[in-house]
Order: sequence, then C-alpha cells, then structure tokens
Amino acid sequence: MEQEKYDIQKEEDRFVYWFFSEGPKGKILKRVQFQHMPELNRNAFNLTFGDWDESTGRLNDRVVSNNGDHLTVLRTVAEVVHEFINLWPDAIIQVQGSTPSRTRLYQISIASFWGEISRDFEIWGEVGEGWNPFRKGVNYKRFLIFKKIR
Amino acid sequence: MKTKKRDHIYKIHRVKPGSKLAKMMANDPVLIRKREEAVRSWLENPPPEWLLKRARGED
Repeated sequence: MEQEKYDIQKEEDRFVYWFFSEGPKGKILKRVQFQHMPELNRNAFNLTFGDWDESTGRLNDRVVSNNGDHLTVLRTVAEVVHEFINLWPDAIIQVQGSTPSRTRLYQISIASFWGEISRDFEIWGEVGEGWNPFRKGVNYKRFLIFKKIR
Repeated sequence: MKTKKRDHIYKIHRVKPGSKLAKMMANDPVLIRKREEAVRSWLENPPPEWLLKRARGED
C-alpha cells in the first residue's frame, strides 16, 4: 500500500514548500526549502526542512514533533523533492540532517520509499571520504540526490 | 477545516515585501546556519567530478 502524503503548497517566487502535519499534537506547519548554492555548482541546492515557528518567523530544524505521522511527513518531503526536480531537472540536492540522528532519519526515509525513489532518482551517500550509491543499512554523513538520466 | 488550513498557508505565501515578517524570514539565522553548514560540507569533501558529470548525464 502506498504511503499517504499531505497536500503541498508551493511559493511562487522562492524554492519553498509548505504543508501541515496533522496528528495528536494538532496541526504543525512544515517548511521545506531548497537553498541554491551557485558558488559551488550552478545546480547545487541544499535541502532544509523543519517546523515553522510563527511566533519567531524562523525555522526549527531540531524539534522532534512526535505527531505520530513521521512516515507521512517523510513521504511528503519525498514528494516535494520530486516536484522540485521537475522544476529544476539538473538539480543536485544535498541532504544533511541538523544532527547525525536526523540524518539517519532521512536515511530511514529513503530506505522506506526506495522502491518509488529509485525509479526516478539516483541517491549517493558520503561514507568516510568517498561517495557510494545508496544502500539500505549503511550509515551516511549526507546524501546527494539527482534525477536519473535514462 | 481544509479551507482554514489552506488560508493559513496562503497568508504565509502572501508575505508583503519589506514587511516585518518578510525581514524575519530573510534573516532567519537557522536558514543562514543551514546554508553555511551545507557549503562547508561540500567544500570539505566535494562530490567528485565524475559524480557531477554523472548527474549531468555526461558519464
């Protein structure tokens, strides 16, 4: 059965996407942003993701929401990546969690949806000083995602 | 419920340029930190050229 996902809203003029997590703790606004890093590579982007704190107008990338829907949230983030790459097909997206445990959460997410993800994307992980194709069960420091060239 | 949710997001979409919220979002220290971390990681161990070529479909 395919994992459900939330509705996504995209900002028109920036690489920003929003959606709501819904669970026992209520509705939590999530923000995904692709930060362009043209000084490194014209197609390089960094994925940032976290809860949006309206009171401060800031992203919180370290909070643990515990809203009982992490798979739905991660499936939605995967969908956002899919949409963004359709917008910028040459994008090379770097994904690195704010902490090693958050990076591991991304890794679990990739593994959970590997069947869908691997159809369209290549994912490489940094291990030590090298880069290897993503494999389940391996711990990585960060990831690079780009569209598969057929 | 769904309409309310969409309105909420819409409000954030329509942040007026130059407004207090727009300035807060532009100067979000978390986003600044995230970008700095990302650039540092890339520079410390850049993806090899063969991998970047592969991403461009040139391998």
